[in-house]
Amino acid sequence: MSAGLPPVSPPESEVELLARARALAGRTLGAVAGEHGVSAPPDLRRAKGFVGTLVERALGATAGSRAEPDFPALGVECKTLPVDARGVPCESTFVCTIALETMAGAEWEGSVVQRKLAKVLWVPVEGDRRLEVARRRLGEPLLWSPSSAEEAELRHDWEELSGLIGRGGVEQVRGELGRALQVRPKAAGSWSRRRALDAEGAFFATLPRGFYLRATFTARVLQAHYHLPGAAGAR
Amino acid sequence: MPTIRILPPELASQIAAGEVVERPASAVKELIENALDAGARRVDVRIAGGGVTLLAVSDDGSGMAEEDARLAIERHATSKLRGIDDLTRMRTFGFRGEALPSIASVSRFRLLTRTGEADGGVEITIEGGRVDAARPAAAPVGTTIEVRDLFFNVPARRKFLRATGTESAHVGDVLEGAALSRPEVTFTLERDGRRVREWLRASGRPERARAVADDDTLEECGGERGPLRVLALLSRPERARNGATGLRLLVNDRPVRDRALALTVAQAYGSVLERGRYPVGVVYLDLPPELVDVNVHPQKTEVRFADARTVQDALYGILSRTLAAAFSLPAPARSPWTTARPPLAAERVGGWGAPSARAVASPAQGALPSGGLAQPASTPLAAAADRALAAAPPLDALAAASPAGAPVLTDQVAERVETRFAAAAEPLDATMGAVLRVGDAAPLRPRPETPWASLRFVAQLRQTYLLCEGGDGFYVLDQHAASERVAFDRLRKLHQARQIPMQAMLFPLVLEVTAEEVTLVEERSGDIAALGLELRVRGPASVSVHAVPRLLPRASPERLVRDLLGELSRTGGRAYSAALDLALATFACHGALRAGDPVSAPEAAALLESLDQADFAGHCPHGRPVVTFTSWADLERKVGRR
Repeated sequence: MSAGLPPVSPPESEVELLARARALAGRTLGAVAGEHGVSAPPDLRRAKGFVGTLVERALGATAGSRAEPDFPALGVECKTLPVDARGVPCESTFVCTIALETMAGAEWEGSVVQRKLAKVLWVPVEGDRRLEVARRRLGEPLLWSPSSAEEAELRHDWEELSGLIGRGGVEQVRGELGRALQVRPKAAGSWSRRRALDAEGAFFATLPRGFYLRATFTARVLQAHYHLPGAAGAR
Repeated sequence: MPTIRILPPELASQIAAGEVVERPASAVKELIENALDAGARRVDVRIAGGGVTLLAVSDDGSGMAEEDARLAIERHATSKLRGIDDLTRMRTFGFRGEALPSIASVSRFRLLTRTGEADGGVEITIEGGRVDAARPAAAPVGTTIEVRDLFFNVPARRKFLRATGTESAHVGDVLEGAALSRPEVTFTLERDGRRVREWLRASGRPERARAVADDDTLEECGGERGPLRVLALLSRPERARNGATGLRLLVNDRPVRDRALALTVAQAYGSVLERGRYPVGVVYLDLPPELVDVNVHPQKTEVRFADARTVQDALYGILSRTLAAAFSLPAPARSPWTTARPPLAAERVGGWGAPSARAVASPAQGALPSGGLAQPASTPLAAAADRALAAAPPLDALAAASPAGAPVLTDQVAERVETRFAAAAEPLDATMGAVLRVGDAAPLRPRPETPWASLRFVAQLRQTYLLCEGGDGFYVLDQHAASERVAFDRLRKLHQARQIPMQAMLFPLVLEVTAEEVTLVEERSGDIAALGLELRVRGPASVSVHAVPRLLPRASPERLVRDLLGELSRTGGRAYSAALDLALATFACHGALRAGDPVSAPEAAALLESLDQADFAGHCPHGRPVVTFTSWADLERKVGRR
């Protein structure tokens, strides 16, 4: 995304943040992009992250891709969530990259995942690929914190996955592990490499990895908090 | 020669007859009213050819002396009115002195009458308005009027008459109205030589109303508020009909047509009556003649109240509570909208519907506008203040008005009003668990000792009914109606506590609406939010839906909003509680299980358990029975085991 107009100042409170997000509800990406002096790309294949960056800019986020919530002063992470016509998430949601070489002995409390997911501002966005990007609408925001059951689920997965990586088993981590969280490669291309430890404690180069929330998990979040389009007369 | 000429009297009478005598039934109405005004204890009506060939009304009233009989057929000759003041206190049916000459001008007319004091009677025959003959005749005490060949000299009007059967039905309708207004009078109707109706003298209104409606199950309810007394004989909600044809209204014993009053009666049933459905029965309203103007139309089937809004509110207040008790309906909701609305001026000075009202006496008749009474209910709020000052005072305050006519506050009167209001406002006990027996419209009394949750779900039938077994018999629940009742009850309780939780739409839904509906959304945003809906105005003719009630995950947001706006638009400024109940009922309907939905055993058990929590009276919010019951004894009888 080009530089465009000067950034919006960060919101001073959750109320202000939510009000800004609610004001975006129902608006198209094209309209919001236009307001911020940028233009929407024809498709998102070559502009990954456009929607997230645009929404963060419109809301006044400052953290960028740092390992802290998008609104550090508020402790709120902003996540756009592409959904299909039935309100089902189209894809998993990236949470953060994994520091592969420092996972041994890491604790859930204070972990990047825990801090990022402690409070999330979900912003649904129409994800139907047949729809021109500029015409896709933003949805009603949801300021969410995991319930104790959800947090337990996330923690269980995180501890299992990070334990495996910490013990040098990063190459054994497959996408099917974890019910709520999963670990998948997170790289700009197959040439990307990060240092990791193997089972013997030796460094080796491997693909960068990231934590993702499974689409089934975010679908449950949406189901619990939204009136979904598919719900009317669904029985 | 001037081009403008005075019409000959016969032609003027024929033109005037068009207003009074629209069809045979209107002639019968006028003649019956004359008979009743003459003190008749028996009225016999005969018709042939739908009343066109012949209509005759005989009574045993006071009759007329020859001189009076001659005068009676002159235009504007009446014994019932002496001055304009009498008009505001009119208790008789007729008073304009138009009926007889009007009828006589468009028919072959025969009047036979005798007073009790006279040795003989007099017979006057008129053809097309001209007196043909007037001679002494033998006659019983009373009056008989025969009208033959109605409209024989007005072929244009004759052309507009309906089929004989239709005209006969209208005559029957008029007779019913008269019978309802005078229970102490015997009425008969003979049609083409055959007696088709007969109502002998009755002990009172309830007996006569049940006889006329031919329905012994009409429930008697009513009460008083201010100067208004209401007696209603009304059907159970499941017997309601589309349209108000089965609902008769009588104001000071005068059968009237008043859509607003009929609607008020229907609204008093709350959510159990769907919009457009009306109960069957009779509603009598009695109030001082000063407070109602009957001189609105020559046929006198329309009346105008000094303060129609207050009459409607009082009627609603009386009926909603007594009907709830009579039919075990859920107690009517108290709408926060009603309380949020600024009080009408009439209420400020002692309206009949406001519990905190203080009665204020003001000049009784002196304050009445000379040309008639104050404007009816639709008067805007601003005008209501003027109206309150000008309108006749409600209540006993009339009697307490100072001779000088200055407004006087009487604490005793106010206290009596408040006591009465307080009694009327007492909440009803929640009645639970009424059910209907198979093939029997009468509901069982509530049996709290048999909780719904104690029933055992056996099976779902046709994906529509839930068959359940209890200790005393088996129950068949309509799954949609039961689920709707539960949803409605939850919604209403939450709404009363202003706690209907919202659920955000994933994406706002933009709806095209009318400009009036946009205004409604702007003005009522807080009230709409209390229903669990978040609407925002998007443009001059569009709104967006951002949140819907969480309890209704299956409901279509568009239908919810359109139904709500529809209810509120139609209701206008009054009876928001009724509109609200209807809206909540519609919400519940949209959000409930439907026929065809599969229901698992745990779901059925949950539904039964929920029914125990509901303010449940055996009906869905639209008035349909939710459940039928067959006792084991009934079943055993049916299969011959007993």
